[in-house]
Amino acid sequence: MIRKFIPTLSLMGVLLVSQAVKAADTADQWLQRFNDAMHNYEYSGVLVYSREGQLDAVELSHDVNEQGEHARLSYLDGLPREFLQQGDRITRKISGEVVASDRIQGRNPSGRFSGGLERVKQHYQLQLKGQGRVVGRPAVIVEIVPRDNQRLGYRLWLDKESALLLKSVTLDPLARELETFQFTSFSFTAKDEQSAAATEEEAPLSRSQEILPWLPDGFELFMQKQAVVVSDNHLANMYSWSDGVSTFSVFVEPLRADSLKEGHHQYGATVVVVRSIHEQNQGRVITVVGEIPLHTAQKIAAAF
Amino acid sequence: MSDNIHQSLSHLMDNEADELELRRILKACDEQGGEQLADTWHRYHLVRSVLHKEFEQEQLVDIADRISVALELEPEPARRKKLFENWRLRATQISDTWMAKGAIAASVAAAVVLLMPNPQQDLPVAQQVAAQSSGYQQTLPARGLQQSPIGVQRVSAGPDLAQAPYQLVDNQKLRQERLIRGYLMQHSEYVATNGTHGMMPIVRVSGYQAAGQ
Repeated sequence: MIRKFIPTLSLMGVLLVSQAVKAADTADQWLQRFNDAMHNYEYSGVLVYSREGQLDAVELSHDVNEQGEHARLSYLDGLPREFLQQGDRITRKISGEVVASDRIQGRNPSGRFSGGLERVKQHYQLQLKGQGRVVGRPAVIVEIVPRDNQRLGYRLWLDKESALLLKSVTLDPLARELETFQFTSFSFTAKDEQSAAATEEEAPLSRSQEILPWLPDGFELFMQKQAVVVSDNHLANMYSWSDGVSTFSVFVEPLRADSLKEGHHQYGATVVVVRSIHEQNQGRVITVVGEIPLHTAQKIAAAF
Repeated sequence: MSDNIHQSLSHLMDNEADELELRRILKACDEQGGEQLADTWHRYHLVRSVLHKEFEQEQLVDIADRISVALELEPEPARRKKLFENWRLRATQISDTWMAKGAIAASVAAAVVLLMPNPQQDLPVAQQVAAQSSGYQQTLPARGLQQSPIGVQRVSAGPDLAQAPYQLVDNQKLRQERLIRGYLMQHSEYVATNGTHGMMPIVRVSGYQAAGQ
């Protein structure tokens, strides 16, 4: 799949360019710098996440070396829960004990402004919204505004020095705030070497149309996985789509007595829409999960 | 409280109350002793849920076991242990009749429901039970079976007593939420490794994680 190398190549290309041109002054340049920085810098801090009725504080650290990215996220409140990312593996720990370890396949920079900013700009407008100050650091505010009502928007506060993300607010299509991520303490170290995590050749993906009868404009299938362990006794086939910024996943599984009940749920920016389909012998359950507007998720589920 | 009002309550539960009865109940709730009426309403529902087996049987057995273990392990000996033994003896004595069985099931259900761990607290159930045992131990054996005609007694679960009835945890809902968390977790892991925000999206899952523990 040569097509899949193009984003990587163009990314590297822009990376070199952005290295040469240190002073970014358009929204595009800032986003490109941000994208490179988030995965190539060593940084750490305390991050708070808030959405209606909930506030969480976690300690987040990120490093990168020859083996790829290393990240650690641990909860400061409640049970000591921890997530460790090592390359393409995510391990979950509770009170120091490993409870699950998933290998994340289909790793390509699809979500990271894949296809370059040009593709992203087909569906979003990129705007500079002035300057601000977060965690005591001067920041540049960049807004990613959806061009239609099938996706969410993002307002980002990027560190002026490193272009790392200090704060992010997720907005619905009417620009109402759904959730906020914000560092309350932050430090970073510049890395000399850039990670060159190679994108592995993956098995060719099915065509979206074969799985989804209806798909919002601009989303491309970037991952499919059989028999994902959803809970101790639930397996589902999982498919994920991305438009370069937003991601949603669809889970398909046989209908059972203890399957999720039909309905929808919203948690901050994330929606969950469950639909069960009764067919002749065996029903199916379709679960759409993602950071997309509720009506979009409902339309995806209803099209089955 | 008059039998009339109880009858009206019963009608209301069966969806057979007329407008006059509804008004009477609402009025009675506002008057003095209205709390008692609300308690009765709550008990009726609890009894119905138990009779209709809307509470998961597995869960019942499971937690009841742990409660007994916690009671056994309780360090403070003599008086309480005796109380517990008494209570158990009495329970076996009257367990032959159907009503008694219902009553025991109902009081265990009540205990289970009210002792469900508060999602805000992170102690495992057993520990929590142990921590609160001094509170309920005195009330469960002494009043649980004797005073209430239908065997359902609001059991003290420590300082949360006043709010307890409103924390009725619907097991099915809990199970659904736990399952939803599974989907969110899988999705968020992909977003975290493939998205623009690095590991940040994983934080979104925390709410469900905490609620399910």
